[in-house]
Amino acid sequence: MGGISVADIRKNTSGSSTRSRSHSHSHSHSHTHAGARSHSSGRKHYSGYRSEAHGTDQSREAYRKGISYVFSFILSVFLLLGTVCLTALNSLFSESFFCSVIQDDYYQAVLNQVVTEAEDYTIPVGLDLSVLDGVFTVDDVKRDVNGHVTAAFRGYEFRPNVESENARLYANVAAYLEEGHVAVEGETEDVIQAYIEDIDSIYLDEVPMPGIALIKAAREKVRGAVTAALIILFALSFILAVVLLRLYRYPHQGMRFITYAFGGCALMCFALPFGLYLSKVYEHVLATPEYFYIFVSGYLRCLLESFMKTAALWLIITVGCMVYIYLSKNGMLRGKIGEKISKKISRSLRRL
Amino acid sequence: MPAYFIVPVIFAVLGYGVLRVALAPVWELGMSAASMVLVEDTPNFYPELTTIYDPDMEKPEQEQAFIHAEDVVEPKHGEHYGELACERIQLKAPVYWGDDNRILRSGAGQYEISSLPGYGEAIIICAHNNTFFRPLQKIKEDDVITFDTNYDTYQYRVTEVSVIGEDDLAKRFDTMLSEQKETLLLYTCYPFHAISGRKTKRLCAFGERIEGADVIWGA
Repeated sequence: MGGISVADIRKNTSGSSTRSRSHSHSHSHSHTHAGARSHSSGRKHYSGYRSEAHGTDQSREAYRKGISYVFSFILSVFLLLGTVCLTALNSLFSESFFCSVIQDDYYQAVLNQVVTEAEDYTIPVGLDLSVLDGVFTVDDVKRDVNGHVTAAFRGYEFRPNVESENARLYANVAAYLEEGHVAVEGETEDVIQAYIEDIDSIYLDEVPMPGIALIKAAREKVRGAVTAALIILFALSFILAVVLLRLYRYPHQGMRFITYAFGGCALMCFALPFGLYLSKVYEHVLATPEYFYIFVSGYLRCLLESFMKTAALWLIITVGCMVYIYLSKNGMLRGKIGEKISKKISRSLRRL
Repeated sequence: MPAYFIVPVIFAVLGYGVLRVALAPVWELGMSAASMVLVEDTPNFYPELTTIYDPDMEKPEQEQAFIHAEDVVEPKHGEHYGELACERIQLKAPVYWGDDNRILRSGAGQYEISSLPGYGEAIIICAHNNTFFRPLQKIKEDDVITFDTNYDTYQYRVTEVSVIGEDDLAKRFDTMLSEQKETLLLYTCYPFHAISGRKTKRLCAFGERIEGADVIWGA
């Protein structure tokens, strides 16, 4: 701070105004009692001193204001970075956020993909597509997709139980072959089992969410660092806020700059995500197959919404601060409760 | 009061500016990564197969021995541009440009490295043996296959019918594609009967052109 402490800035700036008040008082005193001094010279001396003091006051006030704006801006950037870290922790690495992104359209798309691939495999084998009717259901897919996500986040292995699907597929194939008077025995039995195993592997390949292992690894690697960054950023923000409050005699004066920072942070959290949200950039993601696209675009949309919700929170805080400043400035925080709040804030600030 | 709106706006602009400067070392990398994963149009996972084939369209007169390549509308991937037929075996299949699974559900698919009829090069077409190419199990040498396209009608006489393994078929493809000879190849999985596991053999019917105009370049 260029060798000047916060206390110095406040002392000097508030001291000069006090001094100017005391000089004005001493002048009136001398004007009444020191009749030897000529009136005109006394006025000259007084006005010269006052203008000099006034100039110093102004420059100091401007200096304090300048510093306050700089601190306020830095605070807004810290709050923005803190918000980014917080959103990353609550979304990128959060199991509940993942589960909230995976909706019914995702399960349906996984089912469609499984059925399409199974059909593409079934036709060359020489079976009718009707053998796949009712083998896989959305409920099966939902159970197994969620099982995989939970297992990935909690660190254990998960293998879906496909016995019921296998039984349904076997029954369908047997029924189809019986219709064509083909006996299900010997080599045919082996071929059916091999076919069922191949269809199983199609299902087991599609059910795990692509990239979940990568996300899990990233989560384990950077979660600690992001948490540490979040704590540091909010601690620095808190220190800056306290500095801003202590720069001024009355809390509402410093609060003004904190409010600017909250407002700036709210705007930064909102503007870019809102622009991306409006342009529906998340719908233009190159991802295949369809269910992965649904996941990625849904994930990005929820991430943007999450930023906008946080921006709304900052905005509410900003408005709250504005109301507090208005009430304090106009002496409206009166009465028992008002005084209590005012005193409490002043006391806790003095302690800091 | 206006300061409560103006100052945050200034902070936001400055903040974005600061972030832009701070991210400068990785900005280009990030932007090129974004351009790789973002596309102009939203992806369509269920594109409709289209057609440029019209069975009633006017074809060149019999005497015309050639068609200018400029007059041929070349099909795009997934476009239906012709019909295969062989009356004796009751073969009738729409032909699409490309041979992915989506196409093979709707008809016969042409290997895109191969050529369109009339160009004097190999034409390689496949379909499933339990759908459009099921009749191929009855095909014999000297059968005549009609290939009606969006620009002319061609006829091919079957010269060879054989069962070939996957690997050998790949070698035959290479040979056919390197030759300057118009050979039609229709192939499908073999054997035809149901539930035979993974099929590693293909039934192939080779044919030579006996009718249809040459497609020529230039005047």
